[in-house]
Order: sequence, then structure tokens, then C-alpha cells
Amino acid sequence: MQQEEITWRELLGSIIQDPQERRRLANELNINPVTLTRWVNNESSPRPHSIQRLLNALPQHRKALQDQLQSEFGSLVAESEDTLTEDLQFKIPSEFYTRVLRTRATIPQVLRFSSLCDLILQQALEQLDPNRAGIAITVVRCMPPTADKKIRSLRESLGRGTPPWESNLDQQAILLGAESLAGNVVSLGRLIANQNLSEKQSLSPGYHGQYEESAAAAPIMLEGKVSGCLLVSSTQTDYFHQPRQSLIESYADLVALAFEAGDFYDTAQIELGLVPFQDVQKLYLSGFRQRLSETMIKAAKNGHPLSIFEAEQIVWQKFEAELLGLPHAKDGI
Amino acid sequence: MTKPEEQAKSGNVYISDPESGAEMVRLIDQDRLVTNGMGGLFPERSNDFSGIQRVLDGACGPGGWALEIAFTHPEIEVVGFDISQAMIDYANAQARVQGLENASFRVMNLLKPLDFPDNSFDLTNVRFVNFLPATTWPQFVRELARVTRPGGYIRLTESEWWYYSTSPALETLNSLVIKAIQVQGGFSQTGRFTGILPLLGNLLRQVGCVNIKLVSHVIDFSYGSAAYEGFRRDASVVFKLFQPFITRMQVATQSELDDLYNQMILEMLQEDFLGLMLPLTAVGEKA
Repeated sequence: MQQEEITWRELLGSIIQDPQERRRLANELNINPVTLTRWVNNESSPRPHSIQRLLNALPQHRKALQDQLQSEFGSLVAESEDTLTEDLQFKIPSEFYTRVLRTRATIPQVLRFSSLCDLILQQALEQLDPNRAGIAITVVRCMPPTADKKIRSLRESLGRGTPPWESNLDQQAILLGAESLAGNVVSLGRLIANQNLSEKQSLSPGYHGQYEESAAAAPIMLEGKVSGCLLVSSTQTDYFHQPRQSLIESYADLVALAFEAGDFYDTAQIELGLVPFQDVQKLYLSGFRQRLSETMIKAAKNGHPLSIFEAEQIVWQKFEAELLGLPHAKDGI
Repeated sequence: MTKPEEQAKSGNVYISDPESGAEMVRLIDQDRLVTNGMGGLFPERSNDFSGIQRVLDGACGPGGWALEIAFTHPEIEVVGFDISQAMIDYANAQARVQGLENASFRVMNLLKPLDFPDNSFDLTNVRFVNFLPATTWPQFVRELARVTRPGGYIRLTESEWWYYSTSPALETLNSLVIKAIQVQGGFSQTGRFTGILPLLGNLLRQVGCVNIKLVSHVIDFSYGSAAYEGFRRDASVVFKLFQPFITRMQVATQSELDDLYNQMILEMLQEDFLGLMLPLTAVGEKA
């Protein structure tokens, strides 16, 4: 006897038996949890945009749900509609490419890196987390080569988040090394996703930072050389399905426009060390602003004023030298 | 090239080029900073949107305030408009990728008759347009009143331009922008203040609003505060992007601005840096 196919309402019912999952879905769909129960009990049906959000919120059940929803709602989840939605959700809008290129063409040099990265990250936040389940996106860049012309660490350069993360993550920046997901990605020059950071035997090393359940990173590249990576963390496990991974790669390609040609390095130069844990780094970094202003004042007094970006780079190099036990970096002043 | 006074009269509220993207991203950040700092989207009504079905955001820039309402209140229809095509393209793209079917954006000039029927919105909102010439304000507030339904709200938010701080360089840069706005035709009598704040309530009264409330907000962006990093960054962008405007108005030379800018960056990095922004909202009900 052929087994009767489970309906989408039954499937949803089994999923929301887990109260946490019920809450998560309600949050992602921006609806009251009772509404989910009503759908399960066939007391009401989702609106078209809720259908799409439901499919996106349950990537592991997408196929089964889609078939069922299709048979019940027909054109509301028609293939063409779905493809269009998928295009909108996981492809960067052409208007945005225009905006980035226009900005790059006109922006003062001193603002180029920070404003372009900011522009791109704001867009990426909205597109990668439309339901505001919580993500953090960080531009991670290679530290300049040390005396032996090797890249020994990476630094988190500019970060933006949606709750529970803060919107501006710049003050949380730390160095990352070979032990990190970002380090792995930069060394290998390809995207890596870690879908469950709680698993001890996770496929790739990564920081299991506050709120972070899964993470993906894509290298920032030009002509086969690498300048860093775009690191994305999510509060959800299994968040980075293939369309999202492709979207992250597209954003990493865009972020490459914010870098100077000299910021890209041959992968043979990447020999990352192991950097201390975040807690240890925070102790070192507590005086960062003070050291930054001292560096700028000293440079100005010597008649070679530095931009804040240049001064930051020098202070980070000093931290790197201290943390990795490298020969002390020249202060460059 | 457009003369400053012609630009202002045309309704272009942007001091720097809105098509460039740098101003856009600054406004996106600023919007978030200010909305959070003021306590939400409509703090004068405890963020209560009951009874509100259609919202209009005038001179909406990249649409942050409007998009946030559309996201948090799917039942509300939100319309934004701005004179910049680039800002509107961006806002519409944002609405699309976020699946916000209840948000839409159009190119429109705040200083021209608005292309909306009478009494068609429950809440109309305009903020941070103090660059507009003083003579234009009564007319556009009248237009906002026309498209607001009786019993609906008109909400105007402005700030003195815009930092109170312990940084002398920041204070000087501030004063230069205000002087430049005065040259362009702002409310200021002396060049010390933009002069708009005392007038907000009266502008609403003149178009027949009742139950007018003036609500001030305090945003602390002192060193170590939650808003510090965002405002420090905003200052580093805004006082770079606005330099052409200041030199065009002939209130400072490029060399003076370069020195002040570098000094401001340094002073805002100090651990004893203190700063406040004090936006004022005037909200009234159309009689």
C-alpha cells in the first residue's frame, strides 16, 4: 500500500512542536505564534509573502513544503514566481551595483575603504537577513606583511550587525589567525561555511562568538590574490544554504572594490600564526584608542600627519607583534 | 554649475552630492543612530501606531525610517519620497529584497505641490531638512497638512546643526556649516544657530494643527557610549563631504578645513571626549 503523503500543515505541525522552533519561525515570519497554530489546524492560511518567508525560514524542508504549498495555493507559489523571488532574495540588485561603482568613482580617497565597505555591508545585512533573525558581517583584512614578507594574521576591520548583535561592531575588532574560519578561508582562497558551530567536530574551525551558531566566509580577491574575507555569522544553525553562500561570494567580490591593488597578496605569502583567544586580546586592546591618538599626535608633531586609517594600521601592527611574539614593528613615523 | 541659492530653491536638501553613495551610506547610518537614540520610530506617542494605516515620509533619503515602519508594522502602508533618484532607487530596491510589499518610494520635490490627494495619510513625517531656505518652510508644511487627514499627525524633527561637544575643532566646523547655511538663506539671524528649532511648533500651528507637542531627545555620543563609534564615524564622513559646500559659500578656505578636520579626528579619539545631540520633534494633529 502506498504511504499517504504528509501535508504541509502536518509537517509544520511537527516542526513547531518544538517551542523554540515555533518562536523562531514566528519571529522570522513576523507573525504571532498563534498564527502558526491556526495554519496547522487549517483555521487560516498564509498570505503570499508569508509563504515565501516560510520557505526561506525552513531551507531543510523547502522542497517538501514547496510541493505541498504548490498543490494547495497554486499560482501563489508558482515556479516563475518562486524563481523571481529567489532572484530578488539571493541576487544583488543591479541598482546596487550602480550605486557602489558610482560611489567608488566619486568618493574622496580618505573615505574610500570605510564608506564603500559600510555601503556594501548595510545592503548585505538587509539582503542576508530580511527577517532579522540576527547576523553579523565583518570585513576581515590581511595585516601587512611582516619583515619576512609573510602575512601572519588578519584583522577585523569593519563590522555591522542586526540584533542581538550591535549595529556597529567596529569596537569589537580583534586579530584572527590560522585557528579561525576567516584564516582558513584566506589561506585556501575559497568560501567555507560552518553550519553548526556547537558541534565539536565541526568541519572548519571558527570562533564560536557570542550569539553565533553558524558562520560562512568568502575570500576577497583580485586577479587570484587575496586581501581578506567577508565573514558572516548567524544566530541560526544551518543558515548558509547554497543561495546564501553564492550571495556572500557576490558581496565579497563587491567589497574587493574598496581595497587598493597593493592590499592583495599571493596565497603563497599567507602563513598565518595562531593568535590568542578573544579574551586575551581584549586586554591588549583596551588601550587602543589612546595608542591611536598618541600615534597621530606624534606623527603630526614630526611633520608627517597620518590619516586615521594609516594610524590604525600602525597600532594594529604593534599589537600583532606583541600578540604573536614577532620582532617589534617599526612605528612608521 | 547650479548656484547655491538656485540649488536650495530647487528643493535639493543635499549639501553633498546624493548621487555619490557616500552621502547615502552616511544617511543610512545616521538614520539608525538617530532613530535608536530618540527611542524609536514615533517616541512622542510611545511608538504606538494604532489607528495609523498610511504613513508618508517626506525627503526620506534612502528610506530608513519608512522601511523600519514597513517591517515592524506589516499592516501599515508606507510611502516615501525624495528629490534624489538615486535615493529612491535604493529605497525601492531595499523594499524589494526585504519583501516589504507595504513600502514604496517615489521621486518628488518637497517644495512643489505633492502628488497625493487631500487627506490621504494618517501620519506625515519630515526630518533634518534645515538646509532648506527659510522662505520655503510654510509652503511645504502646508502641503504636508493638505495630504494629512483630519485627526492625523504631522511630525517635524530637527536638530541644531548638530553637535554639542568638548571638541573645539568640531565646534568650529559646526559653526562653519551653520554660517554656510545662513549664506544659503537659512533661518539663522546671526550665523550662530540654524534658527529652526523655535519655529517648528509655530509652523504646525499656522497650518491649523492642534494638540501640538514639542519633545526634545538627548543622544549621548560621548567616548565609551553606545552611540560613540557611529557618531565619530559620521563626523569623519560629514565634515569631509561638506567641505566643498563650505568653501563654495566662502566661509572657510580648504587649508583651514583640512587642519580643523585633522584636529577634530584627534579630539574625538580622546577618552575625555563628551558629546550630545539634542533633536527636537514637533508633532501636531490636523484639526
